[in-house]
Amino acid sequence: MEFTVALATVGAHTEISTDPQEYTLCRPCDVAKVLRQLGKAANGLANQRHQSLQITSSSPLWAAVDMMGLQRACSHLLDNALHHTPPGGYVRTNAIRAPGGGVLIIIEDNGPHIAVFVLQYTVPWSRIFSDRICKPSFGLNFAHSIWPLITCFVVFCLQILVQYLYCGASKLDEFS
Amino acid sequence: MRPVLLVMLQMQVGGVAPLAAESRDMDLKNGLDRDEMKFVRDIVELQLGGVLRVQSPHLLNAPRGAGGTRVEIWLPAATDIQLPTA
Repeated sequence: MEFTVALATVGAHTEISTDPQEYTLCRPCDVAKVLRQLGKAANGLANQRHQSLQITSSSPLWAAVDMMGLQRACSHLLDNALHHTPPGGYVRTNAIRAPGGGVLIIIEDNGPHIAVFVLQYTVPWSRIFSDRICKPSFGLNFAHSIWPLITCFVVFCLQILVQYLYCGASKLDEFS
Repeated sequence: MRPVLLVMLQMQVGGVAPLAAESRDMDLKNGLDRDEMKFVRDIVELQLGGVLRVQSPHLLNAPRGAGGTRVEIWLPAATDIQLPTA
């Protein structure tokens, strides 16, 4: 069964804001440095659980992403991977330059995989669908272009996205 | 820039992806479909936002229930960044 879900999120801010917090969204961040720091922090846990933790990244990789957010997300993902992989397993993290010019981070482990039923119970679909916003400009074009590729398409406003990401991070615990 | 986050959850090993077919002899089939690849590159190259791709299970020759999880985070490059001015 092919189960592909795409959640596309479109920010509610249609105009450029003068809020200083917006600036942090686009300030360049060195992904390699973030991963190196996380690797140092996670090494102890991996040793304790007899897992092999491998973190490889090439030269400085600058990405247009909020550093704190990335750190938080990667820390969650690494933590989940380490906690759900049995002793003797591996967790590999690799950061490379993506074919399209961006940065690609890959985190993989050989623990138990996500069961489909877990997804049905943990993702708050009803809340997502009741709050969806379809704007005629970017969102709909976007939806039309990817419709054949996916089973489900959701457009959020930014606030719901933030809420979803904050609870989504802990939901990934249950996934992996 | 209005940030876009695309989350793709793939709950099946491999698929009909042409890129995956090339790596059939490997134990790992994690290639992106050509359409998916184009789509992901569009988002990342145009700096519209990022893509989070979760593939679980991702190991072919794994014991039952232990297919592993692979998370890919595609981030836009930090070149030509326009900071909003007041």
